[in-house]
Amino acid sequence: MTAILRATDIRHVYGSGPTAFEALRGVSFEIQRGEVVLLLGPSGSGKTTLLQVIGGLLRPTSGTLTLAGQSLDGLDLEALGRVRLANFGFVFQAYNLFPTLTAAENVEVALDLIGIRGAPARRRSRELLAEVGLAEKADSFPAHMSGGQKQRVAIARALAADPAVVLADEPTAALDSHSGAKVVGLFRRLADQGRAVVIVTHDSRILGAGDRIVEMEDGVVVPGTHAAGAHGPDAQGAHA
Amino acid sequence: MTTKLAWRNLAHDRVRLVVTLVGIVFSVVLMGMQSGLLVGFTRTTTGLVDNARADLWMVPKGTLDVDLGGPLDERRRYQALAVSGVAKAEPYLVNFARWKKPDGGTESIQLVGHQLGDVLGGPWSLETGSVDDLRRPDGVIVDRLYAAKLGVSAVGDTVEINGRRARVVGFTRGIRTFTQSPYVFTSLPNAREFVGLPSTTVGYVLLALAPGADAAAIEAEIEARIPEVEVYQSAAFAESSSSYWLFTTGAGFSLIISALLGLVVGIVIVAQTLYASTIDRLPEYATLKAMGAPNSYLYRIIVTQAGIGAVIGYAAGIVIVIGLVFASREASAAPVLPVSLALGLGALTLVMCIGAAVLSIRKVMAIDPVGVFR
Repeated sequence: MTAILRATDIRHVYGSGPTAFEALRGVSFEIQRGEVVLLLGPSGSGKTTLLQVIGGLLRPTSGTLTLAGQSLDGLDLEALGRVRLANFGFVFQAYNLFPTLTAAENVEVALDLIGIRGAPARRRSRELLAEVGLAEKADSFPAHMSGGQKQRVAIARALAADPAVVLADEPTAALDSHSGAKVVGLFRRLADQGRAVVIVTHDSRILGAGDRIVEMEDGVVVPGTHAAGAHGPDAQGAHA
Repeated sequence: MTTKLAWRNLAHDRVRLVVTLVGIVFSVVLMGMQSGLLVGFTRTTTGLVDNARADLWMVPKGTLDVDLGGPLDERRRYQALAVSGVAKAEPYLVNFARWKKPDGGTESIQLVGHQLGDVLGGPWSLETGSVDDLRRPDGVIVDRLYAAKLGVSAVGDTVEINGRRARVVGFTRGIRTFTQSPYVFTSLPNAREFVGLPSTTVGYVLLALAPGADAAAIEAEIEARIPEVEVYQSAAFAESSSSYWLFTTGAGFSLIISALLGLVVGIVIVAQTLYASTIDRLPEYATLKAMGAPNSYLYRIIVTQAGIGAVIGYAAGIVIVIGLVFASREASAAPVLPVSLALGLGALTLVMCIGAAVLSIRKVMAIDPVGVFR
C-alpha cells in the first residue's frame, strides 16, 4: 500500500547561531489513506512543528516530503499554498471560524477558494454541514453555537476541497467529552471514506480512536511508536 | 465571497464603520466644496471673456486679467480691422466705478460698456429688461444676486455712478464677480460718460474672425503691426484671467490646499480604521492563508472593504455637497459641481480609500500562517 504522505529524515531548526533550536531531528513519518494517526508528545516535543511541515505550512531545514508520490521539496510559499488548498484540510484547536459569517458561509469561504461559488457553493456547504450533523445550524453564527458545533463546522470547512489528508491540532482540547466523542467519530468516518487523518493531541480521552499512535519527544519519534503505517515499508510494530 | 466577508468585517463593528464613513464623508464634502468653489471662482473670473463671443481679445500690453484692463486708443480697432481675416472689431470697456445707493452708502462696481447693436460683448442671462433699454443715456443693467448689495430692487430704481445719475433698466441672473465689485452693464458711450473717459478711449477690442481664418496667424500679425497691444485667443485670455485671480491672490492655492487637506484627512481616517480592523482580524487572515488562500485573496477582502467604504462615504458625501451647492446658488461666491467634478471626486475617493488600504495589505502580507497553530 502506498503512503499518501511520506516525510523522510525531516530536520527543522528555528533561528540560527547560538540561539538556534532544532525542533525536529531527523523525523521520518508516513500515513496511508484510511488511517487515523494520533501524534502525541509533551509541549516542545516537536509534534506541532511536524504537523506544520507535513501540512506544507513550514519548509523543513532538510529532509524530503512527498504527497501522493510527488515531492514537495523546493516549492515556494505560493505553490505550497496551492498544494494545501487542494490536498489538506485543517482543523484547529480554537476552531478559527469567521465570526461574522454563518456556519454555511464559513464553509462557502473554503469552497470559494477552490472556485466553487454561488448556488453550487450554497448547496455544497449545506451538504457538508449535513455530513457533520449540523444541517439545522447552517444559518447560525459561531457566537450562537457550542464548542462542539463550532468544531464540526470547522471540519465541514476542512472537507470543502475533498482533501486527501486532514490535519487536526488539538481538536478536542476545548470540548466536553460528549462533543469530543462526536468530533472523534467524525474523524473516524473521514478515514473510513479513504482520507488520511493526523491528529495532534494531548487528550487522553481520544487515544483509543487512532489506528496508530506516534509519540514524539525532543524532536524525534519515540522508538517503539508507529511512525509508519502497518503496511508501510518502515512499519515499526503493531497497531495500538 | 470576498465582498460578503469584506462587508461583514466592516459592518460587524458599527462604531468603527461610523467613524470610517464620517471620515470619508468629511473628506468628500471638504474636497467637493473646495473644488466646487475653485471651479465656481474660475468660471466667475472668466465670465466676461467666456460670454463675449469674441474669437480674439486685443488688450493693452501687459494686461493679464479682464477686470484690470488699461485704456486703449480706439484707432487700434481700425488697425485691427485692416488685418485680413478679421471680420469684426468692437470696442469694449471694463472699469471700476463708485456706485451710490438710493438710500445712501457706496459700493465699488465694475462698469462694463459695449457697443449697442454689436454682436460681441454685452450682458447675458437677462432676467428683466432688454439690452436695447441701455440706449437710455443713463440706463444700466445689474445682476439680481447683487441687487441688495447695490440697494436696488426693481427696474426704474435710480442711483449715482461716479456722481452721475443712472437708472436700472434690467436685471441679469447669475453673473458673479470674483472681485466682489458687481458687474454693471451699460452702453459704451454711457460707460465713458460715467467714468469720464474720452470718446476715443476703449478698454479692449473684441475681434471676430472670418470663417476659416487662422487665429494664431492673425494674433501674430496684429501684435507685429501694433506693438502696444497683445492679442489673446479667447480661451487663453480666460485662462490668464483666472490664473491671475486664483494664483496671484492666493485664493486658488488656499482652495487647493483645503481640498488636499480633505484628501489627507480622508486617507488618515480610512487607513487608521481599516488598519485597526485588519489587526482585529489577523487570526482570520492567518487561517485563510493556512487553508491555502493566495495573498491576492486577502488583498481582495481588504481592498473591497476600502471600496465599500468609499462607495457609501462618497454617496453620502456627494449628496451633502449637492445640497450645499444648491443652498448656496444665490450666494455671491457659489461652488459649482459639474458632472466631471462629481465623477472625478468619486474616482478620487476610491483611490483615496484603496490607497489607505496599503498599510493593511502590508500587514497581511507579513502574516505567517504557522501562527494559527500557536
